[in-house]
Amino acid sequence: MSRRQRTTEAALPRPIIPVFVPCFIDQLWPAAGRAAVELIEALGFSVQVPGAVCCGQLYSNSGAEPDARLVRRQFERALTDRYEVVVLSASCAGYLHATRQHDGLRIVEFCDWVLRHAPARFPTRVERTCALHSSCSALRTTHTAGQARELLARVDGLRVVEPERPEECCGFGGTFATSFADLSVKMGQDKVADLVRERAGQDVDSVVSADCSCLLHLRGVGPERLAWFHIAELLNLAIR
Amino acid sequence: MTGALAHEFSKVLKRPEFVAFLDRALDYKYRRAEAGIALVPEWQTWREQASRLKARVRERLDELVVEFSENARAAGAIVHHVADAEAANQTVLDLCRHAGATKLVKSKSMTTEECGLNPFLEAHGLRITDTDLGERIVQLFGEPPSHIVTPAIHRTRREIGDLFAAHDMIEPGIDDPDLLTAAARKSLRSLFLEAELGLTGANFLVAETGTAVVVENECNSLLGTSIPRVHVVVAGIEKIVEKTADLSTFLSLLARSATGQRLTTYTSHYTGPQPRTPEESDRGAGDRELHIVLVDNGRRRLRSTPASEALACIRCGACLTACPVFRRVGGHAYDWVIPGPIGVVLGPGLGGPGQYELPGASSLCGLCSEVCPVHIDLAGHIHEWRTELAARTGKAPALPVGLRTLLCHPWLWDVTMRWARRLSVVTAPILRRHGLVRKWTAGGQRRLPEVPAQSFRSWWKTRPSPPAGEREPAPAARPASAAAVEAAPAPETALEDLFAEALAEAGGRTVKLSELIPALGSGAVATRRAREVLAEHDIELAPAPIDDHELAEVDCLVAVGHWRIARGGAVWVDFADAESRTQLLLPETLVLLVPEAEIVFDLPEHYERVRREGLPTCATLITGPSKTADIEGTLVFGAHGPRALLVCPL
Repeated sequence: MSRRQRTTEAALPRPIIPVFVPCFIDQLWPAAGRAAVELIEALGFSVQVPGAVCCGQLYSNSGAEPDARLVRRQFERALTDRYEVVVLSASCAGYLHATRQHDGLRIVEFCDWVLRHAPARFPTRVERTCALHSSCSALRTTHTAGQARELLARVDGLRVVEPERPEECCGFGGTFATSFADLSVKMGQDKVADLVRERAGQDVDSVVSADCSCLLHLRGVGPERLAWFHIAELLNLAIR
Repeated sequence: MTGALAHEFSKVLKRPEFVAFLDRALDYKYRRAEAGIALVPEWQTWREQASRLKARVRERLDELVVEFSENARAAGAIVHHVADAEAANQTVLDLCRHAGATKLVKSKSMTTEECGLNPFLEAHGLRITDTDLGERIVQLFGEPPSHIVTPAIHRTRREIGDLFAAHDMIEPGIDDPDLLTAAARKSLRSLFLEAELGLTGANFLVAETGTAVVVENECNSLLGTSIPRVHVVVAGIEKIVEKTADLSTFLSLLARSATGQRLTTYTSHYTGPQPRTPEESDRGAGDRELHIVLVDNGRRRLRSTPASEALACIRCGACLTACPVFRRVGGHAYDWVIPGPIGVVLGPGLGGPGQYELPGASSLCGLCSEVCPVHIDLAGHIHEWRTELAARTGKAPALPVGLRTLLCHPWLWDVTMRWARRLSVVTAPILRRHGLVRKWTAGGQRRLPEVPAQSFRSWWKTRPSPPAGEREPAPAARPASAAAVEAAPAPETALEDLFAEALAEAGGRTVKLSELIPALGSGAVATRRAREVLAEHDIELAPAPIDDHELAEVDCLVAVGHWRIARGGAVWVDFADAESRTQLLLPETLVLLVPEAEIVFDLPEHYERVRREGLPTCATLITGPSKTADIEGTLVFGAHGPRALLVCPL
């Protein structure tokens, strides 16, 4: 790319990227939302946060389809003039994609979007041994677990380990977490044990995932010494 | 929702050793199937093909039931149509009475489990013996199967040893799976030999030919249908497939998904009743009978529910083995005849309101849909059931009142959440007492998340605009690494090598004629056809006996097969080539002589040939010796049938 071209490009306005930060991240993991905004800006874009609060999956999964449709409608309304929205949760992205109504709207999972714009190497080292938890949605609905892995591999200093049973659910599952609480807790404990299990010379100090819903549940049953990151938080450290 | 099911689950979780044992056993099973499937490049194509074939069957179900019945009758079978479980049980009882049978042997059939056939027949004074090793174990324990493919997967070898000792089948204190299996073989042999009626299910019913296909590893089905004079098949109408050619797809999918095998050891095709054996003619016994009881029991009705697609299920059990919920609580906790994801989907439709809680018992993780070999979107249907049942019962889910209003009005959401934070002295204790929050903590097992001081949206609104600076050049994006492409099918391997490898994998062995004679031993006998073949090579063996008790004492028997299937390591055997079916089943070692040139590549070629040459009364694809892994997943040869299988191309 010639210097002249670069100058021309610099004069262009920064493209605006709508980023949907779902309800539970908004209230319970705002740091993930902030990190996502800062990361996207650092990659050279402007962020717009639409009015939508929730995609409706919580209701839909518990069988309350009429409620889900009402919630879903406010989501669609908030994004009528957009053709693409970056969703900060593989779970919500998967649901939105599967139940797409607003035909023009492209639902893009966060890691999928970031990988398309990320540098080949992130500039800052992050010294950590991190266990990667891929959510069921990332693995089987949005198929973006590979993107998350690839992004983390571009961060120097970061040692990423994976569980023996990557395909197994962590046990959150929306209302399942409360209607089958004991079982949900047991699944979470097993998942944490698998994530932090002993590995030769690698002491896991943190868990990273592209889904805060899994993380909220796993953090609740996991040892307090661990740090828990949405992937946006780690990447935002590495882009500085 | 009453939470009774959740309570059952919690009860199981209070036995951590059991949960850990079950999880290990199921994970082992899962990994084996996973490894087997990874070897099949066409897996996804087969899945989609199977799904399409089954969709056609659902559409044409009524005509296919007629077509199957007509063809089965034409072949000499007697077909009974029954509407529900009660009628199915009564039909079987009438058949037993008519045949004067009081001693029955049964091989695994989930349909008879669904109908509650065993307790019904026992209440009428009949003795019914489950002969699959796992089924026998749970029958002796007096409990239902806990898994549709490995019924006793929840039992440890020690428990099974104690059980067998309590039934005087073995000395106390033995827990070796080899010895336990041998003990079961011995005790069941005598029950087989005195059985008067054999019951089986069917894995597939072929409409085109009126054939019932039964798939098994142990040889118990074959024995149970060969020794007694009367064979009764009890199967759901959804087991119908259109053509024999369709079997090639289903058989491969079923074997790999259930156990990781290329093919199940015995795939038997029953078309009409078998002729009387010479021994039966000698003593003037009645003609052999084949009855096929086609059970509806709610299946036609299911087609208008979210469970419709579940009628495609081939009962491989993969979704149970994979399911994280099933893995931790086991089949009994569901308190419904078919546990796991497929049971959750079938439950509300087949079982009625008593099973309305089942769809809640899933985290909707979707692994079941991914592993299903016939591509049933199980997780999707569980979700549909939740929606349908919520609409039907009018019961709202357990979500906080008013939450939806907040979620629908972002400004109200922002204001409410801001004030809830400011007034946390008041709101926090109220929230902590909320039912949902109490359920979340599950008696102190799971911490509540700390609520950060500021929400994301509030940060976003109050944040100073980001520096408008010059747009940095967007760093070059690198495309995501392409998913590893599955290795193409192996290049032209000689069929002979392929066959030998596949057979060895199944526990059998290929031998040359020159190696055969030393391998035979002194007591070897042969069927009439085999003796004719061997005579051409100047080998003479004693004729095989025809009496079952004498056959059970035979060490090694030589018989003939028609052709081999290279990719499956299987031999196509027509039982009419022997004087009695049991000649191939009761001896310790079976040797099959097959013309060397008679070899096809795979199942589609095999069934094409079957279509051309026609189906005999009873023909079986044999892949290796009889085997079982019903005791803690340990592979043991010689469950009921031959312990060794040699195949000799001539």
